[in-house]
Amino acid sequence: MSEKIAPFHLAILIYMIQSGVTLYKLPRMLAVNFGTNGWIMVLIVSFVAGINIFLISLVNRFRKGESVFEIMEGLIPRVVLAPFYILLALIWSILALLVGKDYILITQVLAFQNSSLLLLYSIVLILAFYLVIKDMYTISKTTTIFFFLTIWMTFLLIYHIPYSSVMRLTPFIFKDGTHSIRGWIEVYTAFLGFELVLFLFPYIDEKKPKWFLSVYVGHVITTIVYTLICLVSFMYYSFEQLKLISFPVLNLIAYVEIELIERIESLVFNLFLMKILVTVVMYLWAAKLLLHRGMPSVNEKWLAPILILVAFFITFRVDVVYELAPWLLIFGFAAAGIAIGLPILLLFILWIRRMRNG
Amino acid sequence: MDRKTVIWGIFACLLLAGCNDQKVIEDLAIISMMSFDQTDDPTGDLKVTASFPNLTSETSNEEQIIETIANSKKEAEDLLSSKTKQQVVNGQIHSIILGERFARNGVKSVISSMERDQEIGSQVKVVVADQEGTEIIRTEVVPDIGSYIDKMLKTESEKFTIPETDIHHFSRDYYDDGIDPIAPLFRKQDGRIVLVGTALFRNDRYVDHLDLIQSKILMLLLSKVERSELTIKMAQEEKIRNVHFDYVTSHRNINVYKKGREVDHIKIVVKMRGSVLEDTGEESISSTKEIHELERLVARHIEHKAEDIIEILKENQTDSLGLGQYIRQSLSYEEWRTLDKERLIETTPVSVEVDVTIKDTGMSQ
Amino acid sequence: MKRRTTKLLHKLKELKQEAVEKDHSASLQKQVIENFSGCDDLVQRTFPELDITIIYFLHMVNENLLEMDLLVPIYHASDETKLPFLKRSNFHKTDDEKKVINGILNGEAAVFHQDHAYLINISGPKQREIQPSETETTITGPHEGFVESSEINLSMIRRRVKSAHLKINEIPVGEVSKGSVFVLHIKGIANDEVVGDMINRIEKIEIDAVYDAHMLTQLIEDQPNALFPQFMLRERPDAIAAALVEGKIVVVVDGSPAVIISPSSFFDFFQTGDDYYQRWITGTATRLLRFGAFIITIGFTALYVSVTTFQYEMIPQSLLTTLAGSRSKVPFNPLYEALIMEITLEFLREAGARLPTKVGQTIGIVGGIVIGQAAVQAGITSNVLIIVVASSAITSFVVPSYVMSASIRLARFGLILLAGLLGNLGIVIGVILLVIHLSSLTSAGAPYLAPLSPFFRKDWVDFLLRAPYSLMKTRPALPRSSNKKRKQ
Repeated sequence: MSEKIAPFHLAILIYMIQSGVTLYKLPRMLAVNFGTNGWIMVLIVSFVAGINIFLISLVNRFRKGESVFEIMEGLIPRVVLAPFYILLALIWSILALLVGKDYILITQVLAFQNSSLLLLYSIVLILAFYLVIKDMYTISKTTTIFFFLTIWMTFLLIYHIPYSSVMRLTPFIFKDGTHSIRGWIEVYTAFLGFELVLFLFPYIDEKKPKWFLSVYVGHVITTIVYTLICLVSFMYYSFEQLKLISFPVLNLIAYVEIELIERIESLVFNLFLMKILVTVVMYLWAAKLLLHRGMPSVNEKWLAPILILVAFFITFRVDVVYELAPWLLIFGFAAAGIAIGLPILLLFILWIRRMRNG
Repeated sequence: MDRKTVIWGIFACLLLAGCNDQKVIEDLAIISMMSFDQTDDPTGDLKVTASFPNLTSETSNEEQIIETIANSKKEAEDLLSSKTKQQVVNGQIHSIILGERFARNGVKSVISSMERDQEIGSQVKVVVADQEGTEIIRTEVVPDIGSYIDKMLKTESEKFTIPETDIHHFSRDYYDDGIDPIAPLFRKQDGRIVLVGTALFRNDRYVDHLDLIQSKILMLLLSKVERSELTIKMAQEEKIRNVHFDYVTSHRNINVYKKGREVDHIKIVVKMRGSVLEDTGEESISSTKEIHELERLVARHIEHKAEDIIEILKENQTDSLGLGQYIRQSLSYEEWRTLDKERLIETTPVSVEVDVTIKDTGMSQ
Repeated sequence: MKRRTTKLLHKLKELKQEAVEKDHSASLQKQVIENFSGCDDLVQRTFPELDITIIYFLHMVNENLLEMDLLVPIYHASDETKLPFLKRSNFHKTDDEKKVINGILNGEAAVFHQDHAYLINISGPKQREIQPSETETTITGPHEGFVESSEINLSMIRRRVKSAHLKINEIPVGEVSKGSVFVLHIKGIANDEVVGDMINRIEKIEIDAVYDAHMLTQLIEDQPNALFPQFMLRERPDAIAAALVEGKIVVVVDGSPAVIISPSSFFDFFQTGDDYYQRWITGTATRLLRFGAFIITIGFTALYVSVTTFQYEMIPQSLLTTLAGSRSKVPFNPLYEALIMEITLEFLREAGARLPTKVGQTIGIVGGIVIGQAAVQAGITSNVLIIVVASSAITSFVVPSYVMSASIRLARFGLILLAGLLGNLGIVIGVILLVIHLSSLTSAGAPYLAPLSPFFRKDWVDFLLRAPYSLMKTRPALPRSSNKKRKQ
């Protein structure tokens, strides 16, 4: 069996990295930042992210079978790049841990108010550790199962159709919002994750020449899921109400009542841990790869624990929802910067190398 | 090695983490229903009554009712807890009753507290009492008041007699600037719980109510109705003619007509389709002409009733029909912003046009 | 005749010394006899006038055959130089000492004559008759099941796959026991590399003896420490034939009625022959039923624990009174209550499995009354839990493979513990651990969770569904068959 990621799995992987805990806040974020009919913004931001993916596809087109590291080291010596690698690894591992912490903090809003944050958080980290030490092929297989176990939740939206009304959308577009740069970053971070495909090149089954399309497919799945959820949220909540609710998607799920189980949100929200885990694990995995390249002398076995521990202690003091938000914003911004900057840098390097050779 | 580390790690965490948040079902005093009343008590202005179904034995269904006075919902729950041996939890509340005086003074505090509480779902039904809410909760019914009211609301809202209002609907309509919330209204009469009609809110204050027949017509004006029935009384010579109209569908359309940049008037068009199952009139209804005549009569009757309702709404300056939403739909953002929403309903003329189709007249001509 | 043989045996023992001293046959005979020194069941008979010595194990030969094929010709032989019977086709001439020893161990008789040894197969098959398999019964379809003899098993397989392409490799396994293991595949359908890998795995085994195929699987698995079995074992020749035709490799172990199918996926453990013999709609329905049973058996008790300990708000209003009422008299925490009941049930199951059928029924009655009635009346457990535990026990028996069902039951205990400690979050954590564990497993190098993940779209015709045969156009991807199209 070829232990390479097939396009189908790549699309799922991209979707699963992208969609994370931000989804829970997304409709409110849109309402506060972009005002009425903010859901349209999902499509616009998604389009921008699509351009970003296009940049990555250009890297893929010009790279001649090299991995990202080989491209960079073809121009710049590894010693010079090492600090850059380590910095990237640090940013991504901190971002990963912040996402995990964010999830646990929301869990504690819902239940386990009296349990220790640290212990619940440790469990998530241990799960992430357990998955991140596996090889990429196994991670992608696991992700596919997680995808099947979580994607059905989108169909719960059918339940809300009778309770939704177009009248609540209002005819006004982007009125009443703050329209800040911050909002753009926040929404953009909801789409982040596709940039990791840069590091996945050596692990992908490249037999099909158009495999890169599946990155777009994954992105489109994310966009569809986001758009549907946000659209329904805007039709289900009245605009002013939406601005007040912390986790509109959670309330949306909470409204679903089926004959056998009432209040299924306590089950469904926990299932979300699977999506979070994929996001966390993939960022950690990429960080691990970078750290290995930056510090080849360290035993590979210790990389994941080192990254997790370092990031854990850096983010140790952040344990309140309101403190976490600025951290997430900063690191989200950094990650967005990497997502846009890294492909541009790579293209630049490829261009210089071509100029030199040619 | 890795699997072992992971498994031991997780179990170590679990053993340390768990157990703090246990809510073992038999140790809980589960509230099935709560009522909120205004009081003049010096210790607080909110009288909260909670009903706990007795869960300790499978056979008896006695319920426990505890009352307390506090300043807020959460404080009341704290106080209730000190009055039982078990831990008071509210995750199984299915409906809340707002006492009349309390409702008239604004219910926002309770509704937003319910919304904020993560344990309470959004499908908690909101009911207004025509008197003290605690009176209703203290009615003896089988099996317990919580499920009784729940059942009653379900049956009635399926018949489209009253609106189905839960916490989510209420606060959604409260926060929307184009509609005002409504809720079913109950009263205790001769020891029984009786559905009175629909309570109309202006923002979060209970202002007026409609009786049962009016509330049926309100439902027609409010949204699509799948099935319901109306008994229409018409004066005919000396007698009163009773027509029982059983409709299967009713569609409603709201059209906003503008004159220039101003809203000129609103026209609500209701198209109904159904059958006549009872007619105490003199002549039989057999010819098409007679049926058309009857259709016209029924339509006129409903139109009159609807106009009465709109009159009530206008008096109270409340927009229970969500006409504001339709006006908003036809305006630009600036126009809507500058509009005087408080007096919007009062100043805008609204007309109702009902179109009735009688598809059959039952088993006899 | 028996008496005569025994008599001869005594006589032979007396003659033994004499015969060794004589030493006129080659050292071959001597070496062979030395090898078996101390084996009192070894019979050695000498016919000095014919220069013939025969050696065999008394209990491993068929006495009739011994008489007819060997002794009678010897009695009739007149002259040392005229022994025509040794040229018969059932006599195999050999000078290899090891071959002779192995032959004797396999129930053959060795005839020594003039420095040469001749082996004649007169082994007496004291075997179980072919019977329906007890662990894998079907309602429709063939009923015969494998037996302990690999010869019979191989013949049953050959009779179902009448193809010259069906190749059999025999590999000896067990340093002491010298058991035989046969690797079967159909050339042109199975992937040669995979076949080679399997043969390699078996050859590498270093163990004293292999007694059963289940034991062998644990020696050739990719992850011996995994919770779940990585090879499917079947006891029905029709299932084995189907696996061969799909391009899978089959391993027959001598002495075991179970036959290994490699590679197997997790979902293969939920399939039975009936799925294929019934109409496809009913086959699909039963299959879905089985997966539903899997979910219930692994998670239902955990959900009960989670709901009663943490998530009371999930209980529907109408059930609340029943559930809380039944719990009200129970002195234990739901977690302990559930564990006690589950373990009791495991006791019952284990006791029932070991006892003879007649006593087993008593266990059922005792268990049913004690658990079903007395425990509830005494207030030790709630009756809702009884229903929950019983339904997860019933559903655990729906899983056709006993080995898999045992693994699932063990996983269930993990989930119950997690649910008792962290409620629904605990269940989800348990599921995550299971999913990670399952997807990192491989069966002979093939992904365990195929065709779900990795996703093989074409294999979905025979996965959750059992699609009509007209739709099954390709062989499954898992065995990496070299000939993907069926009917070729």
